[in-house]
Amino acid sequence: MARQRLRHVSVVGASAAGLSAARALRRRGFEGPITVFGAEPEAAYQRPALSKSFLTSAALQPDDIRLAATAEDVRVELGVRATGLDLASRRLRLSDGGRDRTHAVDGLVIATGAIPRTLPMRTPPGVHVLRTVADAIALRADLAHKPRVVIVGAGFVGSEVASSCRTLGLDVTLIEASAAPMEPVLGPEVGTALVGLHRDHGTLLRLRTQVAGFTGRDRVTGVRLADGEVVPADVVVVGVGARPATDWLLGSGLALRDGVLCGPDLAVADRIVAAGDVARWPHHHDGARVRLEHWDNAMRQGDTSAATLLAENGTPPAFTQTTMFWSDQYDCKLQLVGHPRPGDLVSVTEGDLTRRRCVVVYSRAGRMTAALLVNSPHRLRAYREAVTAATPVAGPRPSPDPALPNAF
Amino acid sequence: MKVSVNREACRDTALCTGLAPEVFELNEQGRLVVLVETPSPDQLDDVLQAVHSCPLQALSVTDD
Repeated sequence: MARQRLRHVSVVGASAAGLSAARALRRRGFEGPITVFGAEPEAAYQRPALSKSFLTSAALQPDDIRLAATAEDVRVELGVRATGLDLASRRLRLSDGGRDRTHAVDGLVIATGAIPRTLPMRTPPGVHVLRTVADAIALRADLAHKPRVVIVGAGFVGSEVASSCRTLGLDVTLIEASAAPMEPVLGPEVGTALVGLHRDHGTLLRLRTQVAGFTGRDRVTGVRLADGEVVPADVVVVGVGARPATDWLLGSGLALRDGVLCGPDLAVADRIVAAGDVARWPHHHDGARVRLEHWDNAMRQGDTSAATLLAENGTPPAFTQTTMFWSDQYDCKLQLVGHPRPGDLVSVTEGDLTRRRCVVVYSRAGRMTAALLVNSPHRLRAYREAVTAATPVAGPRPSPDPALPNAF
Repeated sequence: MKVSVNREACRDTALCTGLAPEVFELNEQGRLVVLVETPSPDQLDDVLQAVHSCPLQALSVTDD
């Protein structure tokens, strides 16, 4: 399909994916105007730090975790929220605090990220979510009063907040609906090891536990469980996942299904691409549509989405990169390469999971889909290559030679 | 161009080792090692990607 030459590009979302796309457009030689719209008033920052060092270091200010300037000659408008997209007239609807306007688009990068899920119940003051730097500042201020902290949800954010709160010497209770932390993503074997990790560091775990509501009117006093028990709390952090920020695209005609549906090249429609937490694309291993909320994924997709916009008459590139996610919890460094899915076979190929120094391999149909490195960062290169190549996996048995995973 | 790591900021996330594997690697202890301090012109694109993508903004390139 011969495309019209791209005249200018609007990027909706001014964090990792959006800024990466803007930078990649320039690096790849695009010379037309680029405008980036960011809903938050803050210039882009290191989001992964919010649940880690930013919570534990009261001296850190937003300027200390700022991302470097984007690229030459990119206009960034902050505090401007996209509220709609009209495909027929190719106009964005924008709102900057009460003032509405429209903006003509040619190329468009959708990079609005995700917003935290909340619990469908009344939430008194003292109940927090953690997504933005404003959220982190509010939570950190509350943590300074040495509260009893209850965290709802033992996913990556909840687990990291638990770790950070223990670093601050606070009493922490972590409530999780499933049988073990991150079991739905990483499997029961890793979940069991993470139970031990939390307990060894003094975090009280309440597993297979549902939350029914909060007590307290002017200020939260506790978390009410489904069986009626109330866990006392001065501060609550709700970390029950995030949903893609696609509300502004409802009625636009773009296909939305837990994310913006993209092709393998992240194309959404004519001269429209998506990148980062908001994008759902067919994974190159098996075509199953996936959506990832990872920094590395956002940065890399920003680049690919830019390449797709610029692939005027050529073939746009498919997004086939192996992305990585890491999480620091207590004294444990978790590095996840690739993308495990429910039902994947789990095997420990190196080390000992109970000692929390090992490599856990995930496979599907005999091929490696992901690897989790637990305090084993020096094995990263080997396993990144193995996941990228979808290396055949022999079977779930421990390797006799710790230098060589049996998967090879 | 010279690559440098701010050791205070680096948390050994290793994202750079994926973006520019010829230039960055983790050692046995899991600490980031710069394999090539002055990357070649054809490595520079990957290095700049890594510099911008570092979630701790711990990498920089400077003129020699």
